[in-house]
Amino acid sequence: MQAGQHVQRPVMYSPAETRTLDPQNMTTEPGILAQKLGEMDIFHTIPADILLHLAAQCRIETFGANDNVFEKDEPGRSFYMILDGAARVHDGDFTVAHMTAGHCFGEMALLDEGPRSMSVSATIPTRLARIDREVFFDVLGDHPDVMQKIVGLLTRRLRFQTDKTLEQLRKREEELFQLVEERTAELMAQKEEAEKLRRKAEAEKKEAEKQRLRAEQSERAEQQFLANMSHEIRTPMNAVLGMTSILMQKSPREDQMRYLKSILQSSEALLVILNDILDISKIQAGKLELEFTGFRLTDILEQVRATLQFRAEEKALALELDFDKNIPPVLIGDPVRLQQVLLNLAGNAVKFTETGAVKLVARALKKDNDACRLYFEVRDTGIGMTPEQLNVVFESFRQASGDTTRKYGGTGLGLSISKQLVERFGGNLQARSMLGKGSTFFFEIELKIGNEMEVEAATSQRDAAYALRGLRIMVAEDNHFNRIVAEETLELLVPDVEVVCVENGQEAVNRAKEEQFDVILMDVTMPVMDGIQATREIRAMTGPAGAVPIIAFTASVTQKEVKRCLGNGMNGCVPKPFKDAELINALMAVIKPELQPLSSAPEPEPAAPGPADNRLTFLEELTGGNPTRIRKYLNLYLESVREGVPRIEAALAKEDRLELRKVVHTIKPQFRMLGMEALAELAQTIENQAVEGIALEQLPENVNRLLEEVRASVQSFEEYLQQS
Amino acid sequence: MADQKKKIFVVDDDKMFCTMLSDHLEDKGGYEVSTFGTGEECLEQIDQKPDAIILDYYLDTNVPNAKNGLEILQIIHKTDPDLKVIMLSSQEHYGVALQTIASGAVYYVIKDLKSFQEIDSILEEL
Repeated sequence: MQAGQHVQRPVMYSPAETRTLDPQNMTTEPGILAQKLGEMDIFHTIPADILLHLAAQCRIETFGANDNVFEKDEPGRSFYMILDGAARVHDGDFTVAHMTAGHCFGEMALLDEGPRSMSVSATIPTRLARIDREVFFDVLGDHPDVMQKIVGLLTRRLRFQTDKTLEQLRKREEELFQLVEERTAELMAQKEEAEKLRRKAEAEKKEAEKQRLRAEQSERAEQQFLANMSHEIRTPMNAVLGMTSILMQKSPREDQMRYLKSILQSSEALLVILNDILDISKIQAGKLELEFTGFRLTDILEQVRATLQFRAEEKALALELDFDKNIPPVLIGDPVRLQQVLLNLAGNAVKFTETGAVKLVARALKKDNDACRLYFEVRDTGIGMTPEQLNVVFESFRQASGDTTRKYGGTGLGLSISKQLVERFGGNLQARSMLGKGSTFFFEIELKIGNEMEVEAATSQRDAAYALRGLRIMVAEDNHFNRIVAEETLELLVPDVEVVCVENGQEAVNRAKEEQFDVILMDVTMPVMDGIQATREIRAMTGPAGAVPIIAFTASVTQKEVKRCLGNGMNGCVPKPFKDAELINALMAVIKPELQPLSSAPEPEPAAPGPADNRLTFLEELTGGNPTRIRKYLNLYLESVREGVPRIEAALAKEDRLELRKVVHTIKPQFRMLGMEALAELAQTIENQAVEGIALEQLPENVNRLLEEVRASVQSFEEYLQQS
Repeated sequence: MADQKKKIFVVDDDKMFCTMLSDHLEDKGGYEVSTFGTGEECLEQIDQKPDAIILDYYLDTNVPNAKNGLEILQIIHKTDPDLKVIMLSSQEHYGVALQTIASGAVYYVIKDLKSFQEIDSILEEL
């Protein structure tokens, strides 16, 4: 290799080749190097000969692309200068600076041989001139002024760089600090926003809850209103029914009979609907309570079969009962509601089946000492339902299809009622069905097991009513409402009962003369002829007609009144408004005295309550037994009747019906509030009579009775006030 | 709002019932009750903006020619259709109930032992 080639090809050395500058070549390579050094600021003022000396001491090193010049943390012992090529200063993968020919690096190593903070590597094949720290100080040892200059310069640069780094650090710190602050603010804002959202959500939730409560309340109110209204409609409906029946018994012409039958049928249909609405609204308003009494399931199933037998026979359907003998004979529950469910299901089955059979199944699924799990199923071979129809069949006011209503009638409430009743029993009414094949409705409920004693106690009334089955009863009562209530109650309690209603004593006498009755329930106070007189006339008849048992309906069960009834040939007394048991007991006492339970005295307890007896119960409850309040209210009552009584007397004397009605009407609620229900009833009767224009001669008797009772109450309240 | 007492007017010429009801409501708390013997007296105070008026159906027993409850109801309803009026009556007639509801009453309460409870629940709902 010739020396001249180096000059012409100054750039390329083979990689990793290392050599010391040849002192012989000082005019060439060291000269160029010295010139380059002289261009660098640290060597700016250094005399050329020293530079040349330094350059002569340099070692030329070559590196390939990516070769390391030195590593981070290596001790810094040399000063480098790029002759040609390029290098980068980096911290791992992070490049801090790029350097090309003429750049120097590692100059700080001249001051300090501590570890380097960065690495340097060649980016392309590169040639470096390297001066070792020892060599450098060796060369400059003889020139302390030069050395001082260089060191001074490097120190200043170092300080500047340190300051710059510090400044950068400070700036970075500031930035970071600001960033932290910003981020914190952002987070705070986010948190605040979240809190705001949370609060808003909470408020919304609260509002929704409030809305829900309000909706529930208004729904309940609506249902209560519906229940009340259905009842209010039922009462006049009953009157329509009752009066239609009466008209039908008055030998109407054939065409009139047709109309009456039509009225009767429509009213009955309407009543069924009303009862359904009443039931569903009662259930939904949470007013329906199940009873827990002992009963025999066989009785219920038999009852259902007996009710539907006729309808099934009409359609030539088989009505089958499949009763599991393992079912305990006596269960505890609500027989009326269970029967309602089974009757509804079986009734539907009969209604929607044209051929085949309706089967009623009852099985014991599980039985232990206390309780029995029962399975009920009503299966038919009727028209069936599509899956879509099956889906909505339990909804209120829904029938399988609109056509159903037209073709088969009904309100579409029956199944909904049944479902909810079964739920009340703790079960779940379900159905499966196939269109054209038939439907099956089934449910499971658990009932407690009872014993014969319980069923006897519970059903004694029903048994008693059963013992009365088939009776023909006349009800003589002038008040429509009471008449209907009596009729309804009898029909509900006594199987196959026939009830004939008349409105006054005269009619009662006429009917008793012509027809055979098992018993007559006779109101004591009636227009045209009162109950006492009617009884006397009936008793005067010969044969069985004169011997018919007569039970008095009395508004006030006082000793005197009972004596008057019994003394005039009546056989018993039932106070108005009566309770079912009282009515049944009174009937039993006169019809089947041998079956009469323990209280065998045929004469009912002449419960003559002292005027102040019991009637203050409500006042005491209302006032929490506060004597001051009770006195205050009683005084207000006394004040009101002291003013009212003379007005009533005057109105009666002047035959001023309007005034009479007005005064009686105002005092009436006071009777109620003080627990004098019979007196309130009497007031209502007077009011009705005054409005309806009942024969005036009927009024004085009632009014005088009212006045008598009012005076008695005044006296007893005054006594009470004096005592307390 | 919840702490504020509801202002209730009771209009009934039946002094005993009126007093019992107003005592009952005041005992329950949350109500400020004013009682009136006639509807006319109530109308004079109507600008006090009561939250509800409990109004008897018959009001002309003691004061002849006093307007009856239905007329008063209609006047109230005309002046303030939003004012809640609960009708009181000892009349158990569907027709009367319907008439008052049709004239804008929110409820129809029969005067008897249960009416206080009924009024309680109605007032809570209003």
